[in-house]
Amino acid sequence: MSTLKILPQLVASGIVIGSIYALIALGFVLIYKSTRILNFAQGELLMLGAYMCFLLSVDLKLPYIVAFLFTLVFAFVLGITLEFVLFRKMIGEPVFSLIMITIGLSSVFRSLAAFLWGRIDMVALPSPFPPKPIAILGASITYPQLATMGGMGIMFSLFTIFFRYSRLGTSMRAASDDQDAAALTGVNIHRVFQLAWVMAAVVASVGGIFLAHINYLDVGMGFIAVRVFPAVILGGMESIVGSLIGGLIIGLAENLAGGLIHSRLQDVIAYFVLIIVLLVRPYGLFGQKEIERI
Amino acid sequence: MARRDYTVTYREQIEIFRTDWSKSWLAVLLFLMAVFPFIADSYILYLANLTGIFGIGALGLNLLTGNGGLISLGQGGFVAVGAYACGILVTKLDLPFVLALPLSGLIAALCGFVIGLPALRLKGLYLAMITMGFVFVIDYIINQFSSLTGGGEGLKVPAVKIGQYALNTDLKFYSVIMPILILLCYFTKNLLRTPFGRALIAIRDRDIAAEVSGVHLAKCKVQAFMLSAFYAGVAGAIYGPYVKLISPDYFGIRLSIDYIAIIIIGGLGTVVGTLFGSLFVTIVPEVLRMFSDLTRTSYPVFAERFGDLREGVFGSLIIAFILFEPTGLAGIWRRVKIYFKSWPFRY
Amino acid sequence: MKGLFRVMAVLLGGMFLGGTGAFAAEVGVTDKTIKVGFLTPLTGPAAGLGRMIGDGAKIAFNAVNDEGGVHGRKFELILEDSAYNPKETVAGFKKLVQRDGVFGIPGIIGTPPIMAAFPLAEETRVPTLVYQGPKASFIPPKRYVFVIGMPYQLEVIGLMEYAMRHLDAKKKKIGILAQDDLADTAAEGMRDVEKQYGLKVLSQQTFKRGSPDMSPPVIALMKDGVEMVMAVTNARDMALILKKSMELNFKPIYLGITPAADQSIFDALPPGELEFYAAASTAPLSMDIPGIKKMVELGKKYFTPFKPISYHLIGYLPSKVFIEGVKATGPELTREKLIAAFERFNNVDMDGLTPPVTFGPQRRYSASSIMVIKMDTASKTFKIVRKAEELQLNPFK
Repeated sequence: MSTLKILPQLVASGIVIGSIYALIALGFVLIYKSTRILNFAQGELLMLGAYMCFLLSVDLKLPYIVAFLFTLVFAFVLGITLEFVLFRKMIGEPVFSLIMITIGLSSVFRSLAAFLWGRIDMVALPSPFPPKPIAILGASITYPQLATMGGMGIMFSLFTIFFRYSRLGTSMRAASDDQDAAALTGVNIHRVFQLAWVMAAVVASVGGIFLAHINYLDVGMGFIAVRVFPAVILGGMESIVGSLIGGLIIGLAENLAGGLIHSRLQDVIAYFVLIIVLLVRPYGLFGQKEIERI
Repeated sequence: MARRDYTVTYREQIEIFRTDWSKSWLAVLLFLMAVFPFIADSYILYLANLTGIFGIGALGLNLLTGNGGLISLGQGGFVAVGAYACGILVTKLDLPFVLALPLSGLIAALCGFVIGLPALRLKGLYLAMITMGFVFVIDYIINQFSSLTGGGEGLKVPAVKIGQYALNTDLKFYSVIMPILILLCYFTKNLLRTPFGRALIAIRDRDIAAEVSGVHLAKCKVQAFMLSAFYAGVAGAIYGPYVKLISPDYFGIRLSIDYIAIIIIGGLGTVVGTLFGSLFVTIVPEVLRMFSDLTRTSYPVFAERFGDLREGVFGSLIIAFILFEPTGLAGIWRRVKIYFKSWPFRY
Repeated sequence: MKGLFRVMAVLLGGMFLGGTGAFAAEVGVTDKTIKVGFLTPLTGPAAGLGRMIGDGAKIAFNAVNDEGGVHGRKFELILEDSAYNPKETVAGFKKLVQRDGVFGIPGIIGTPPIMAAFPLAEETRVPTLVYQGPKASFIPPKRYVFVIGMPYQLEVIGLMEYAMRHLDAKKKKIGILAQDDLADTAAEGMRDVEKQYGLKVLSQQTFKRGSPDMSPPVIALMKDGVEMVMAVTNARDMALILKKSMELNFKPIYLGITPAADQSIFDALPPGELEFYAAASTAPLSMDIPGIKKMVELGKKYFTPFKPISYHLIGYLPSKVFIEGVKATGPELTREKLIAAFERFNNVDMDGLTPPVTFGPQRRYSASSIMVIKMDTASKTFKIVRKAEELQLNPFK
């Protein structure tokens, strides 16, 4: 088969996995924007969401829509709990410590999931979308994959509208710009933090559900998040739009480089991109320029 | 318990161990360390050696991050460079270990230079990110040049000798690792008292002010990276011949995070802290392993699943330390010391 | 610095006290018990599968204990975590040998753990069985290390021989799809085949174990027009590869090594047909095989619920071989005698679980013949399509 023929296929898979990356990146950005924390446990939030949906839809046999919505509720509760128990105390602590807490958290989540649900392993999450592929523009795409791209689009639109036009969204943006000034004008900073964590958890859960449709459930599925850091940096750590673009670019880069040049590049190209971005334009494509230079 | 701390000359004043009391403790400690390997079994010795290797690497990281304030997630990569450099020098170039060891450290330091340069423009999270990227790039390079490095299957490192002294038992490794560790501790402690060390601390506290006061920021930062990479390289170079098989799996981001855990739990910026932390990070998983053994017979079902919780317990400990004890074990130790020192007074 | 050394004094003093640990009286054998240790990943990414392997070992030893043990001795099994990496494996091995004083080690799983542990086995003179170890673990043969099952390189050769005879391999375009740490083994095996039989490998794709996206390597194979893929990887990645293949409508003939063909992949696959043949160093989970039937029965007895997967067998089989060895040694049980007993193994039948086991004074791998199985999506099992046959090309002979 010629290179030209498989190009659309590579692009399609790039967009599919890129959508998952974008959702994870969105979670990172949401938390970073408001709290300056880089949440190393974002991948595990994704994993927990996927498992919760499985438990609800397969074990408890609830209809898919119900399971999906209840998973979001679960994510909501999880986000609030995390913020309250851990991160409220840590306001003002050095970045470093906060990152370490999220790293510790990711271990804890993985362990708990293995302990509680270790028997659920390598099972695809059943979806209402028929697993059949259809041909679009020369590429073969399955319905769950389409749903992933669609879901990503919906989430991003929702969040963009939220941040731009709603009161809460505006106050969150204010808080991330300058916490003290925002507080002075009456923004409830605690609420902002809570909201950030909740949104990140919800977004992660959605990503997890879709990933479980495309691949399968597995306690280690959170490791995918490590591949997303480059996407976040590329897009700009405070930019919603950036996380979308960054995720998609990384997904495409992985597929194009891995498929056309050399298969091993798939795993490392993201990091090449990361290093180049950090050297050339550290604040990313859409981030705020605030990097000091010595 | 008050202590005689009576100095009459400048020389006495700058000694690290000033009082007779602390000198005698030092002697006891060194004696115990010398005697210890003859009584401990191979398993405990293995742990002690691992602790030592971690300690060597962590000393470097503590200099860079604890004292210098430069967050690095790249220590795992530098250790990898040291390990593979030593492995390749010994197997492919037949270099004696005595030469390969410092050479590997230097090669790692060179990588430190390469990382240090771009790091000049980056701070905080971004610095952490680029060092993380470095680790992945090293992983890729190791896998790519598999004819040299053994690729994904790993590189077999043969037994090494120092002259006629073959390093083929845990005890013999102990006799090499511990002196190196002690030497490096001494070196590090002194380094912190030299202008370079003070410059590092100044950079951590407020780098612009440091530059204004005459610290050559760029030179210092790069040197810090090179130095910390050197420590890591030495650690890696010892690690290779010790475990006799190195594979890229081990040297990933996990290892870097382990090192960060060591310096945070132990205490940022202190040599004591590094040692505490290394001990902690090596011992705790083994303690948990023994714990699952104990419960194996009484609560077999629980014990099976307990293996899963090991990682989580470790993670919780990290979280607990950061939340409740940010100065780490070193901080706790300092408080304990002060308590005893000032007893029966409260402070 | 003062504090530093003072603390070290206290801590080392503690270690010192703890370190004068029990020097095991002898090598794990008493009149009533035999202590054995099994190294499997219990933490880390491979923990899910590792746990199943451990369960398999438990089944074997529980069963023999329930029958009264061997020569009046019951087995005491200690599972240790290898975390699928050398550092933990060495720690676990040392602990088993020094602290727990085990008599032997009936199983170590995974290439990195095996590579790290086998020098130790020689050093400490502990009889050790490893499952599907890499070449270095048996070439040159090590006195104390025995490899159960066939090394992957030989499986690759065996599969290609089958493919040439039955699947028209000589006329097909061939590609390799390997996970990172097995890529070299795969390449070596295919190189042996190329040299001997004149085949040519068209495309070589490598991926990182556990990669979430199998599209690039599979699409690359598609681009190169590959019609037959030698897949050298584990079940998790194989499931995603097959899934991706089905989605892309890419239908080459897949050939896989033993770990790739596991029961668990069916849960992840969508409905569809793919030709997937695999080597079976251990039998597929078909109830037609007496050994498998027995294992499943026993498994249900000891574990509820029990969902048998091949990874149970990976724990069960080496344990059974070890038990056979102990049986063959007789009532006077020492490590050296066990080695001698193993060396006398000649076509020992393992109830169909694996091709008959043969060792020898210079031979430390159990099989040079493989079964070939084929995936049957309708019944969600693997069926045996060819019983064990000796390899024609054996670079290790």
